[in-house]
Amino acid sequence: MTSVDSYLGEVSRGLRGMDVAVRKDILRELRSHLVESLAANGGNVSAAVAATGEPRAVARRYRDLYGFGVTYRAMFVAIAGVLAVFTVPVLTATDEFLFPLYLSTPFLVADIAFLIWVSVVAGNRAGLVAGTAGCAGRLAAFGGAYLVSTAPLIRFEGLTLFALVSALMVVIGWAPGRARRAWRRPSADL
Amino acid sequence: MPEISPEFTAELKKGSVQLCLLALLTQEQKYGFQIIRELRERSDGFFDLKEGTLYPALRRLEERGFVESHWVEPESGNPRKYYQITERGRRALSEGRELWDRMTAGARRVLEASR
Repeated sequence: MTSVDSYLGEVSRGLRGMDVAVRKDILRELRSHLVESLAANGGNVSAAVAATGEPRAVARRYRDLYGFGVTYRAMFVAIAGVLAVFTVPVLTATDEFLFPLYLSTPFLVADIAFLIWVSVVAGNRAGLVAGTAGCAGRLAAFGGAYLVSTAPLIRFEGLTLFALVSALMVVIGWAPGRARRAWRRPSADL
Repeated sequence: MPEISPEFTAELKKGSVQLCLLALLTQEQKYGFQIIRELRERSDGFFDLKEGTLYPALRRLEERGFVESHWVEPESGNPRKYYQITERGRRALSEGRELWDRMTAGARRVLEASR
């Protein structure tokens, strides 16, 4: 049964981040299937496994259907939001950087990369929510900095850039996943 | 190499397999492996699909409310997940079958004229 177990292990890895109950049920059903298949073909494990299909491809179909579980989606939102807080460079009225641009830029790059990744692997809806969290994180950072500074100075260009980048978060969360859905070729079997 | 693309064949199968799954469940509840075997036999091997892709397809039908499932665990032996068609599934099947009949009849008339 080692080979069945390693096959199911491979599928299981492909289902990472799915709701635990759903994932368990999927693996249980595939195990039940492999047992039936083995009984029908005289115990030929490699034939049973081959007929079931490449484990990653099988897992991908379940992923297309179920996406990620609540826990992972919440984690995506939290990471995007927290990273976003540090994407806002803060300048005080005395022109001293509290949190200078060279510190905030890497966070901006990281958050954008993260949002693209979420959008592609978890879909445009999860990406949109994470992007909105990113936007909210930036607004929170801006509001917080505004409140703690004694003499806040807001320039029009700065504010415009801030608004643009914040809006961009939402778009970046949504667009890559949507594009992937639109451009993906229909799968070759079933 | 055939002239028609594998995607074309895949799309034909994809468009019809869900109706066939529902059709197979109209008489009695069945479990996955049984469905796979019947689908292959009754379709003369046309639906000889990777078995692991059938389960997500069944679950997709379940998400749509067209089938329901439950586990049957015998005292000894393999536990099986059985699928049964719902009322919504029956309505979907009859609508789908009507559409299917119109499509095949229409396409056949056009294709026959070209023989």
